[in-house]
Amino acid sequence: MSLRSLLMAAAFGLSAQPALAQEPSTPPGSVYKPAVAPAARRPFFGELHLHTTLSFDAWTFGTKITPDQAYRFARGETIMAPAVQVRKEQGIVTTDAVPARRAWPLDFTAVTDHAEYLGAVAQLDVPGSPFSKSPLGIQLHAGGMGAFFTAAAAVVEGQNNAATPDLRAAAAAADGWNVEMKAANANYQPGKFTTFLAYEWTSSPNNGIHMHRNVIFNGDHAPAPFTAVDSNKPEDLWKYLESVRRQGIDVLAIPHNSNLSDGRDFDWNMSDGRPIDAGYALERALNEPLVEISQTKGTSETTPELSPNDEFANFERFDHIYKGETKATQHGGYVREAFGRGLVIQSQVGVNPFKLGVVGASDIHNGLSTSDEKAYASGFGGIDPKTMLPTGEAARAALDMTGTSKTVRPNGARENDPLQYGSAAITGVWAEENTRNSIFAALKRKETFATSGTRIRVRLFGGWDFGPRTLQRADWVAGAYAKGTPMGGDLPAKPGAATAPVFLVQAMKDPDGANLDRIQVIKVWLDGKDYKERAFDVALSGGRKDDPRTGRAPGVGNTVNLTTGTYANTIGATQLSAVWRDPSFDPNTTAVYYARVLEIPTPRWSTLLALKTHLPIPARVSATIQERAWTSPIWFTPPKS
Amino acid sequence: MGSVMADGSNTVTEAPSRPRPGRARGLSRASDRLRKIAAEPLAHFVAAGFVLFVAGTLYQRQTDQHRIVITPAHVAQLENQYALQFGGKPDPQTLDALIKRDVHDEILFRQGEALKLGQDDEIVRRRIVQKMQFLIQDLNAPGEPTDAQLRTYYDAHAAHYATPPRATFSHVYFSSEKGGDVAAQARAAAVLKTLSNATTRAPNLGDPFPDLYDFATYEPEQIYRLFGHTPFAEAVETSPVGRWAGPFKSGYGWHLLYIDARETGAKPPLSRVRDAVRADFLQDAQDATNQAAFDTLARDYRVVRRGQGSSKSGSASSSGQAADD
Repeated sequence: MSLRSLLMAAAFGLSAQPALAQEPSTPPGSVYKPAVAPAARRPFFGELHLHTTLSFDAWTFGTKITPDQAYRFARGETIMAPAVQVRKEQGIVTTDAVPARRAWPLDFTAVTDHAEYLGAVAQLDVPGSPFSKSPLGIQLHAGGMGAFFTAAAAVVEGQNNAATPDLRAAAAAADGWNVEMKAANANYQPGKFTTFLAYEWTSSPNNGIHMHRNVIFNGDHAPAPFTAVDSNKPEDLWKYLESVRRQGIDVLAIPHNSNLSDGRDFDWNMSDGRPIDAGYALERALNEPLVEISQTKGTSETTPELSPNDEFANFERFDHIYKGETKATQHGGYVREAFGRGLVIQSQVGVNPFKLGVVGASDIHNGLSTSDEKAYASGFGGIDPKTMLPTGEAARAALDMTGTSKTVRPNGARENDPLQYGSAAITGVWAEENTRNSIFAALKRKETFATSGTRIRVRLFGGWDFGPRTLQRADWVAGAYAKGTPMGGDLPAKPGAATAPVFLVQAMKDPDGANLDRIQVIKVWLDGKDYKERAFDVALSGGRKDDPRTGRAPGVGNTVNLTTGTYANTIGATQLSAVWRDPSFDPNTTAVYYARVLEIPTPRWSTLLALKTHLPIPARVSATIQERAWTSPIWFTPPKS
Repeated sequence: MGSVMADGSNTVTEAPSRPRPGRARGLSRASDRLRKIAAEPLAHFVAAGFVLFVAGTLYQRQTDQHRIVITPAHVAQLENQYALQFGGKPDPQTLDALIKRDVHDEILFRQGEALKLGQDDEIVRRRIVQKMQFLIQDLNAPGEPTDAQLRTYYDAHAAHYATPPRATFSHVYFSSEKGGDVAAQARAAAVLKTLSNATTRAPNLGDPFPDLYDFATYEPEQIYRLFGHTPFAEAVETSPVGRWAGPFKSGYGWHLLYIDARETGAKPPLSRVRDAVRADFLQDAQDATNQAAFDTLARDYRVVRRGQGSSKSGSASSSGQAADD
């Protein structure tokens, strides 16, 4: 080790050297104590929602990738995707396994297979297994989407039916939870790549409403999952999480696809229909500190209907439930509204149940977690664009050219619209080191951000006495931690002399990606029994200014070439930052602030896939998108009078 | 001792045979007398007949299509299967039912086998292929490698076990947004001329950079993730140690670079990666012996593919597959 590395490691702990030993897990109730100051926190990017062959639905789609392969792919190894999988999912004619490698390694990953009868359906790949001889097994083997609905009905949506004993026996034979734990532990490389023991609780009341949650454990062992078969009420899941913590293992749950919850995820009421009370609010805030704001089945930030004054609200919507049949109720299904409702409920019962940080993920079902626009081909699959580009019917199906989206499923529902799927999102965390303890602690304190898939790095701090030149100081980050709060926290108590909170926000573009258009701060505040919201442009590239009459800035422009699928970083900025003082602050009103960073327009996955496969660019969806990042919010609560 | 089961099949319960004490000594005394008798021709004839009779009886016992023997080992196997699925031993009633179901399946299996139902069945074929593969694997399990073998293997695959190179460096940043890209490059070049190699760190000579100026022991993959797949990231891998170089372009603008130290991709001592090397060695050895075993089998086969008009033939081994359309 050189003198510089020694000095720096001693002073800041900035060495990228992997930690040598695995530390014992931080127990619940204790605070993780790192060796370095908060200012030394680094951004790590990861995946918190991924399925493999052990998920019942993934198997029916053709997925053979195991949890172990999924982790190895996520950390940058070349894996061999089985021929039978790429044949079925990408339409690639091959009898050999196809090599696949992620464009860039992730820092952390949690495989979150559906816990209901974990691994049972994959028992069909074990010759002679009892499940392969069961009536459901035979039907699943016959293939087709009909099999998926049979499995889904038996596994998630139905309670007990004729197939239940066979599924139970098959899950026992699969020993899936041990397989998951072993794969996660074998691939954990402290300092370099973190894995989490995790699973998905797949509560789907009323035949397809998403009340799903991902359960993430800290540590190298965890009790058997509590599944939606045990109960489909979140309140019961929280009891299980409590019992896990009593065993000394810390754990949290992350809801996702609130956009497909038909207004239930952020409902005013509890599962039993009564209004949310203080007990529920406390339990929820404790067990569910985060929410997945974006993934392949759409972005759940907000919609143009809910946020008519937000010119960027219409981003990667996926708004049909019942398998594409019905438009989901929007109220109660989107995160920005949840921030507002949380303030309303807090004013009534004293506790905010929706004090949520944000994460992003893929929910990809073929085991290959990708997040780049060119590594996606609709539906459930990540691809390696070098080796796994879909061909023939598979490419046409992804671009909705085969008429399958109009196909009525056996249960009478329509297929999901393949063009509504978006490429995957990812989670960023600010953590001291790449270890389970450090990243889990960051998730718990919500020092997290989500991006629509690119490596935008963004920081947000809130405080009261940050001067306008704060960001020019070399040590501003240390000062921001000392005098303010990072994203995910509460503003410190207001000093008497202060008139308004000040926010420090800084964003860097993806070093391989597009320039930045702007940074916005979204403010949501309490207004009687309702809430209000407003988006402020706080940093604009290219010297643009907001029009004082409309409060809006001119568009950044568009350099996308729809013949080549390329764009140019001749517009936008490589980095943006702002010291922003809330111009409309009311010291008696609770409020939430989060930052949103937009990139300049780039080609959407559907455009790139169409160009690569010489198919027409779909006219029904936007050919370009503005990728973006969302930070976890910072909350202001007035002192009790 | 026997009983008739509900489905009409006869179940015979047999006491397990136990070796009797002193039997071996008795045999050795008897063998002297036997040696004498063995010298007589009539005895030869009688003995041969007896051997044939016993062998025939034994053979029939083993091959009688209508005799199903349930051994303690088989019962234990049923119990284990059950425990694997349901997490505990079956109670006597359940065990009885399990045995009954097993007998039921066995009867149908034997009837089906007699009718040669397995012959054109793809699932049966696949299962037998798989069993044969396991058999080849078991027969040819590679032995524990010697130290010398491991060393040779390790040396041949050293790159695979090498730790990635690491660089410790500092940089000065010039933003393209201040006066444009060309100007930023020129500003960087101008500063480079003024920099002495005695200075190892000079962030203030450039523009503020939103991330770090100093990086200790970073791997190439990490640099690419922070700065993009750009000339600057490449320079971190290649630029000489101990002097300023540049300007290099990154995803953010232009940089001057000072490499403080570089650890080349080190070859760790074999002792530190021994387990991984051993596992890979055994896997490779297994793959090779499996292939060799298959090639030996394949040598006895001739593959003939008939197409339209022409026909070709060839050996079935992996190296010399012949095919036509």
